[in-house]
Amino acid sequence: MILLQRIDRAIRRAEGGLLILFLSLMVTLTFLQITLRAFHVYGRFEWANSLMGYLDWTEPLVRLLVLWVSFLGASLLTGEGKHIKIDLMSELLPSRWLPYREIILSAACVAVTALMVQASLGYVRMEWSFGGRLFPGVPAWIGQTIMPAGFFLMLFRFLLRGLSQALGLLGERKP
Amino acid sequence: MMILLLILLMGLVLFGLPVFVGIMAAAMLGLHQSGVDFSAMAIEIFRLANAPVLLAVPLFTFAGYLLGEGGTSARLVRFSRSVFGWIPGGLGIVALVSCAFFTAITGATGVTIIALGGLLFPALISEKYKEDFSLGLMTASGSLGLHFPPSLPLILYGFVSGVSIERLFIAGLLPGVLMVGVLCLFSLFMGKKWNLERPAFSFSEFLKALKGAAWELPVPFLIVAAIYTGFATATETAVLTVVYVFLVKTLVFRELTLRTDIPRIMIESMKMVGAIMIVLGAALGLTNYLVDAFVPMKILDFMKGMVESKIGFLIMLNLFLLAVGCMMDIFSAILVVVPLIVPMAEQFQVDPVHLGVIFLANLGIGYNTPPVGLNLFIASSRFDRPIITLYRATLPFLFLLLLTLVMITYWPGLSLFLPSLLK
Repeated sequence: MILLQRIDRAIRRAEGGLLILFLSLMVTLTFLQITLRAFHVYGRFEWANSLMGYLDWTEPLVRLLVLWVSFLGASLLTGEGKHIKIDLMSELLPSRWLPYREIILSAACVAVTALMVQASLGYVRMEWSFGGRLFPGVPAWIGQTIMPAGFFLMLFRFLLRGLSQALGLLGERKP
Repeated sequence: MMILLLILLMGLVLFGLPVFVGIMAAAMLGLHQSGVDFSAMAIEIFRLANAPVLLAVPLFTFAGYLLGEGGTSARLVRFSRSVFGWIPGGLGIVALVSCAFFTAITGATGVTIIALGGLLFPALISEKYKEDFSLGLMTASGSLGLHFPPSLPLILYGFVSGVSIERLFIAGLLPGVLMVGVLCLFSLFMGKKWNLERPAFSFSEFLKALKGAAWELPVPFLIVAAIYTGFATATETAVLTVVYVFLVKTLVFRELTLRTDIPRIMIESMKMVGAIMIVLGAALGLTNYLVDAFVPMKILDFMKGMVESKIGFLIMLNLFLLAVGCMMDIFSAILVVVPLIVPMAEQFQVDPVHLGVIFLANLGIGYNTPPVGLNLFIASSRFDRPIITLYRATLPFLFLLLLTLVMITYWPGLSLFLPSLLK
């Protein structure tokens, strides 16, 4: 359990780093595009136009990053149990029932995310066999790997939440 | 068997299962029954990477989180106090206007009550506003400003329904002003009635406050101007907003440090984006199944037997959305319900832009509706009062907001006049 939590913390840090990198890229690349276009349209600079030609890969890249950022954010959120939910019962249920609720909900989440890992792996495999290209030299399936990876990380964290609640209950009974 | 599983699933969602898991499970049940491979859902989720509009979501969220930190809220409150403070009920107006404004510039991501509640509620009490009135006012103000750009719910509505986001931004202006305005009049009326003490207008304080707020105040106006004049699209405006806000916060005010604050805010805001987008992805999967299974058509046929006229449809819509709004958060509600309603609205000749404005007004008000409106719970824990007190305190505000909802719903011109000028 402690080992699992340590792994979780390490992945967390990596995910945070990636989020910062990707968001910075999204802002910088899009801002660059707009600036260049403004130079071209309002200033009639030819070099801005030709530079834009070299940067035509940024637009699909930025769109893909939206997906990556979404999955990384969602998987970080899973560890904190802060996904959007209808949260009425925390107020209404007696507090000693809460661990049981958490275990049941985590189990359901693990099952659903496991199916999603499988489903998105199927999708990646499909794209792989098509051999489509994201950019020259970069196959399209690379961009999609975040889906199985992201769902797997969510699965891992739902599992961790369920386990820690279950261990907590067992620990209470022993002494 | 299927029905049993669906009921079990609904039960789990009501007990706090993450909404996206619930939606995915529902889609899986449907796909399984019609014998379609689950990778169909993965294909739908991947659409998140093929929609240029969606780039606006992380960007405006980031800008909103940047503005949510540091002294922006205090500067805004000081400014609106210098403008409205001298009017009877002025501080109430200050609270309403600042909350609406703050909700707008932070993209309606739900930080308003947290950022402004601690500042405004004690101020209202110390100026001898009745406690019930102050509580109700702060709670109701949580559903103001949803219509003003760059509201994320509007962007999501535009994406799901296929309506131009630029038009939606412009359409929301008048209805949004109406909702804020009516509550301001109420505060003015009560202020007169209670004959509260009020400070005199001070021109020098106004200038000082203006100077303090001069950098952040123009943000929503610049966004509207950029879109209205066709200078930039919603997405481009989002990037410009991020860059502008970033420079203001780090270089002008030096409130946020590059090494610690900015990375933390980046991660925090992207978690919010993840929360919304994963629900969006799940909803795309579910909608795809529902459309393939002709579910919207079936609901439409069913409704046609019951509702004959446009007015009848709108009344049903209002009641239905109020119920949805008091159960669900605004993002999940839009993502799940809009695809089902849009084809029906078309049938009854309701303009999709107008429909978007109705949706937001309705769901926002649903937040304040007993027994389970979300704002009531947030305010109950934020101000440490029992939920029953909040039901009572919010009631007059709820009544007034419902009045504006009726106007917004049955007077399409209010929403459609400004976009009709846009060409």
